[in-house]
Amino acid sequence: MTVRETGVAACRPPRPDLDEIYQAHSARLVTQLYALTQDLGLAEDLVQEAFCRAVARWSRISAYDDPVGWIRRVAWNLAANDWRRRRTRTFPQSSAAQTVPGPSPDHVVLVQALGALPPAQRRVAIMFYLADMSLAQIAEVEKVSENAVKQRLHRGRTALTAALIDTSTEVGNA
Amino acid sequence: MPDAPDRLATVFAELHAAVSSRTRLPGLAAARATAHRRRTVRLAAGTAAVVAVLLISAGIAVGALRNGAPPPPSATTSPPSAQPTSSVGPAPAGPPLADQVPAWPVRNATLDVPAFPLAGCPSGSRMFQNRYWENDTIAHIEMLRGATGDVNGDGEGDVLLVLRCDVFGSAPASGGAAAQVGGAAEQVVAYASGGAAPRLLGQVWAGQGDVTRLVVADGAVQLDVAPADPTAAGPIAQESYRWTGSAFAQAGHSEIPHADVPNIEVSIDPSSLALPRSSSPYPALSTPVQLTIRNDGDTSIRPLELTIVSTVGLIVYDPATGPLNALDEPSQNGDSYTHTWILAVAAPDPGQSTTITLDLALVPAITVPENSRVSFTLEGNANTRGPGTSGVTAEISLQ
Repeated sequence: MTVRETGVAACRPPRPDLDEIYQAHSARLVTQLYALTQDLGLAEDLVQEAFCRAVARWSRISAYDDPVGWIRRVAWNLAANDWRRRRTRTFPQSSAAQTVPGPSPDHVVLVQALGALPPAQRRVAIMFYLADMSLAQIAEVEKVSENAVKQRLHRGRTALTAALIDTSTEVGNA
Repeated sequence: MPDAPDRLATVFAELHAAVSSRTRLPGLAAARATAHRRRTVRLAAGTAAVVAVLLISAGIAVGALRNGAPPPPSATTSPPSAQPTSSVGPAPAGPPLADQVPAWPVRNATLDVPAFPLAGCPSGSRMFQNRYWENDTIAHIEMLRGATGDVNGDGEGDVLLVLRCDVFGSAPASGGAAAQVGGAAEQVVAYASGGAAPRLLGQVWAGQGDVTRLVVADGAVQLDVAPADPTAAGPIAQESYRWTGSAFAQAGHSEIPHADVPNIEVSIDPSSLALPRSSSPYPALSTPVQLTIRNDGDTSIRPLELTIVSTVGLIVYDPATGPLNALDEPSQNGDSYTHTWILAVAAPDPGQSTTITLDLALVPAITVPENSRVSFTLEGNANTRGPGTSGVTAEISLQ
């Protein structure tokens, strides 16, 4: 049987399917949260929790322009809240890098260098490199100008690159 | 070996591949089950409350019938509230910032929160847990600072709080379409502490600035409000407010400049430049320009960044190291063309100046439209509140 859409329905964009979004984006979200928190288990929990909340509100969220952005922000916000609760403790930088088995030296250095960045620079770097967001999109999320995003990205890049170069030098000298 | 940005992108991509290969998420079915279980628990809790009321009412009715007296109205028994109206339990140890918030039970109390000047921020009765209130969407309120003192003259110590609201995300607009909301706002709120629970006295101040100081002195609330953007170099407002019997009214206002913004000036020579053109695949000879940076302030500048923005295709050379990598790819929107570089430059000490020489050349085979220009903007980092900026710009016009 062929169902013909009415004109109105045909003009309405199809609502995204949460299963497809989970398949397409959950792993990348975990990577972002791992880069943010340096704890793979926590990153998985945060992403799963964000999807739990999306499930409960999908009829509303699916109408948003950027439902993946909603899920990402929830996960990031949960991470920030968790970070607040844990910030009296030392951030688990050394052990976190070992959470991903068999990391390359670059990965360890990258994750540690990310953890050492100021939060705003860390967020911008993660959004740019791991969330594939444009400078304009990052500026919208961060509520700053694109120039401010450029500056934060530049500073973050400088610090991350310096850390990676230091590693290369050490490896080369070893 | 790839250059630095490419290497970063490569390492990030490799990191994603490594993390993805080891990620073990429970799946969306598990998320759906969790969401369903939570909904079921909520429903069960609500049902249990109703059943309890019915049972209590029925029990009272049965007892009353046995005693031959009419049952009391069931309205005298109410179901337990989902959010307690007052929570005055002991405050658990909080992060260091919490030390600025009084240990008095506001950290874990239900507070009447006045409206924030920001869409999406919650208001009304909100239960805080260890200085935070957060709902299950994407807004939260944090107690940033606190002060105590008698501000309404009743002889009791009152509590002043700086509440900050952060909103990230989307919210349905009135027409049903999604609307982006976000940002942050702060307010200073006074609560009377004479009763068993904090009682709202009134909102002292609200805005999108950053309240950096809050004290009570001689019955007045004194606060410093800095620009919300820590990179902004605007003045700090010093304000005082007094209780009038029904609300807080401003009693004083003054402004002080940021204490340590350097007085940077920049000049460029020449201010107008006719760059040689090249029709070959190679750029034409470059032309030097000198940028003079003078620090007339009394504060040293830490990192100093030079942002170069060109409206035409340009190659910028450091005479010592060669061409400089642009921060971004050139973008062109209609007639507007921008190409940006951000460079770290040596910062002059107070009272000193420094000169930077850069060589500029046009990219091959381009035309230079009228009113083409290159701007050089310096931004410093001498502000103790954050990255800070001096934001001075010099321009050269291209012919």
